[in-house]
Amino acid sequence: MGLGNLVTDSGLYQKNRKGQKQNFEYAPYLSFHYRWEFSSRFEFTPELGFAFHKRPSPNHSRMTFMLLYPVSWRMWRRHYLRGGLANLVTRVAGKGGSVFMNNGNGVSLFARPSGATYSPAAAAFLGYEYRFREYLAVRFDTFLVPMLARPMRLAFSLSTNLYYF
Amino acid sequence: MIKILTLLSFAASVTSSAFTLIITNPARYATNNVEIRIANNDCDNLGLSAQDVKDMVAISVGQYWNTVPSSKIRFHSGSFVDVAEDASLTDMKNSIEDNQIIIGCSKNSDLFDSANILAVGTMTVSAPARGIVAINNTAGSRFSSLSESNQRATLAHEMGHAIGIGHSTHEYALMYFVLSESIKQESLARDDSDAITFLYPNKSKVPFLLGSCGQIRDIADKDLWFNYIFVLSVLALFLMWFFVAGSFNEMQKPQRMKL
Ligand SMILES: [Zn+2]
Repeated sequence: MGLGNLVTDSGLYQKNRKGQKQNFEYAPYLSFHYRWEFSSRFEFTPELGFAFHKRPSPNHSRMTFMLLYPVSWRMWRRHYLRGGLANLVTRVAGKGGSVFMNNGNGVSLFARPSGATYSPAAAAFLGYEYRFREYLAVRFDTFLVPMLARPMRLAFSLSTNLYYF
Repeated sequence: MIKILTLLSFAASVTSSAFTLIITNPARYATNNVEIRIANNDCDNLGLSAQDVKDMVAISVGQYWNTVPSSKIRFHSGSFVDVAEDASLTDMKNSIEDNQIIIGCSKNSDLFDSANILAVGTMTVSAPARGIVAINNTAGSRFSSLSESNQRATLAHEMGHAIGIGHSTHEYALMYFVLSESIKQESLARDDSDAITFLYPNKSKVPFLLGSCGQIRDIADKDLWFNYIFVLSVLALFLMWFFVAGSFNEMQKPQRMKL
């Protein structure tokens, strides 16, 4: 399993009144994977991960979960290059209800989001991993989401992994 | 029968939770690529031609709603359509086809009973979806006093209503109910992106395998360096697979690292 931080949509959305973009966020990332060594230099490590974003409002939440299909290549000693395909799914959910809010010169009733939607996107990623021990590693991955489409976004994650066999 | 929702207006008048929807389950556009029709009348009180509005809309969609990777919906500035210069929202709605949005100027005094109302955006209550954005072209309209960037933000805000999004309480969100010179709205906020993702998520073509690859947009885009990185990544992946294939030939017994 792994523990880390996932940053999605880096540099895409504004984060304050000055219009500055959000490049980084704290979103704890928890992952489960299986390492399959198919030669002395190559491994396949499918992974399921969950990123818990800071709750954007009391009325709605966002979560990202990922499926990763990485191939790792042992470049030199403890240094690994990894890359492959991934599936990032964004979940936005709301509790429902309604609220009165300003609307032009008066006030109107607006609906709050109710239920959950899932938005999947294919991604390509490249990463680097350093193995302290055979079962303990730290890694950094960068993702391009979605593949072959505009607009693309950049996501990255940094995590510490424990491997079990 | 298409009904028009209660008017949602975006006033510059100063008054001051997160994203909301105009109704619980608004009509959705049945296409991923929504055409925006431009009313073919000049906005004489604002000093804008119909072509100016069309150009402004094209920039606005590229700057705001077309930037969300987790949403499938994309907008493009389409052809002109004839409407009366004092058209009501119903007149405007009737001049387009289903799954289109109309944006244009109007001098309708019932619609714009105050110069402080910059523009109005709304959509049909039930499917099929049609969106309407009317810009206040009455004498003395404050729309003309806005900076160009705030005019684009206003159009994008009203387009948000035209796809079913309500107001937000996040003050730097595009869908915040006040336009102010002191708060920049030069791109979407996360709250706006959550709203459009909630209403128009990507659809998985292969469930839980790879998901959607989204839509391919106009080539004339500024994020070219993204493509550059992407091509590099594909190359790197190709190289890796090349090595993987090579390693199969001399398939060794899996062995543990010696550290
Ligand atoms: Zn509004």
